[in-house]
Amino acid sequence: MALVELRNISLTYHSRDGETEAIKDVSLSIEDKEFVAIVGPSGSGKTTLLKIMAGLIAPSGGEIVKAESTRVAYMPQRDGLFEWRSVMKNVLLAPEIAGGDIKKARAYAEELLEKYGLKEFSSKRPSELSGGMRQRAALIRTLVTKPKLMLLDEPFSALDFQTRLYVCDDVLRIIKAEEKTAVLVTHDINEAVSMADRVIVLTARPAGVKSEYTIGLDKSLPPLKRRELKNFSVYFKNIWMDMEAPNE
Amino acid sequence: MSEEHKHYLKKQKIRKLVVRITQIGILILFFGLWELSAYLEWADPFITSSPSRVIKSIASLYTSGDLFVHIGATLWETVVSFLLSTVLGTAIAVALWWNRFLCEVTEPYLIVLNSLPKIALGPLIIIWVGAGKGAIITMALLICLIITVISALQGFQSVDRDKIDLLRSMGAGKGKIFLKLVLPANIPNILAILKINVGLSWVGTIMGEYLVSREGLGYLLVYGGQVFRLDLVMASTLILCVLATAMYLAVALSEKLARKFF
Ligand SMILES: Nc1ncnc2c1ncn2[C@@H]1O[C@H](COP(=O)(O)OP(=O)(O)O)[C@@H](O)[C@H]1O
Ligand SMILES: [Mg+2]
Repeated sequence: MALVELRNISLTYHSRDGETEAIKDVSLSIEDKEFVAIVGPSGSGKTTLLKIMAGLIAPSGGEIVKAESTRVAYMPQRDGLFEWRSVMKNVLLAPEIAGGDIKKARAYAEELLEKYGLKEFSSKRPSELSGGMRQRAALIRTLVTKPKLMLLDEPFSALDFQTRLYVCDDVLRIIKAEEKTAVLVTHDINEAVSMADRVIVLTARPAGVKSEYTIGLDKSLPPLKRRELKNFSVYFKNIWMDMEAPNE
Repeated sequence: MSEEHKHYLKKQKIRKLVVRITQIGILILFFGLWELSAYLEWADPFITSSPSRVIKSIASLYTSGDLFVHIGATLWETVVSFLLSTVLGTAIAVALWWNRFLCEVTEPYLIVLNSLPKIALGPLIIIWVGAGKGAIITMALLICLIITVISALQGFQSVDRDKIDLLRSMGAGKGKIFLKLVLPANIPNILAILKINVGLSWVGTIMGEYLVSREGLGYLLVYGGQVFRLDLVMASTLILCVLATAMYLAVALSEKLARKFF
């Protein structure tokens, strides 16, 4: 059974200026331990779709099927670290709000920070971290609640090109090591093809599912290396043409 | 450290010193010319007073024991209205942030109250609150309160939506969102408001004292003007300068300290 399933989800924003149909009849399912990338042009409704999956906005129509026990963590566009908190206190934000056993959470946070090379920065302010390290801290902040499903909204868009390449490797390595299911939305086809097991292509707004590709690249390679594989450009070209094509 | 950098630092130091010396020089020149003009009777010291007369006036206030009574009265009114307006204003802003309906309903009233010159309410305040310290504090409070509410609310509302969504996805309700995000993110803003309020509460207190008081620096100013004792007016003005600056610097210093943490 799929971990999460969206059935005929649609969403229309209402505001004083009128209504915006952002999502139209999206059905998709995410399997356990799968890494799914959703690509679509800017303004197509990717963030909206992710917020619906995170339970932050109720859809106008359709339903989301998932087990009650499936814990979901959402990472908004931009890392969203709180500048007045140390890295450790940022990481502990979710346990603090949940109000559970903070000692246990702290121990786990320490373990994660240690494992992913941020231990010596745990009492530093986010402003003292590089872009890549900030992203890693934000990722650890979402991992600390031990979610099953991670929802990542354009996690690399704020980074410069070079940093982005190695942070891609970094994030994928961590997600695979922690055996998480992940949904990443992006407008960057390269990012999607090099990281994901499966790519879902959205149409321009209102977002609908245009096509779907199971990526058959060598998963033992890091994303940066996958970009050099021969088939990479084939996937890229197909997805690019799907995104260029007008909505039916 | 390279020679060049040493040279640079030295130049900076000298520059700072020159600025300081010039500042002090202007002060000395100002008071010197003032004293001289009175001494040589270029200007009528009855109208312009003079530094030595001002000092005499302060000294006689001191010996009569009135000096600290007046300073104390004004300082107390200022500090109370400053604290009250900051706490009350922030509290009202929190309520308006919390309840959007309330916020929308009160918006035009806030605009009207903010535009109204508060001194116009003087007569009403005197009748309602009575001609005493209460009226002075009410006047100062009115002057600071509305602007505090408006600025604090604006700060609360401009918190990053992404971060609010992040907290919501962690299961935070309104209370936790306020405590963990909105309030800490607004500490610098609230401190900036404090700095404005220091100045405004002085304005309010002196204005209030013009209206009703029997003591305080504002009272001394009015009284000195009425009986044409310009020495007293100048002395009060000078004391006011020193006190208001000291209070501003104290707030600015606490802001600097707090900014290290937020
Ligand atoms: N709160 C909102 N109210 C009204 N319209 C919105 C709101 N949020 C997003 N939109 C509109 O919905 C569309 C999709 O937005 P979004 O999901 O952010 O796209 P993407 O993340 O793909 O760039 C855009 O046209 C945007 O202007
Ligand atoms: Mg987006």
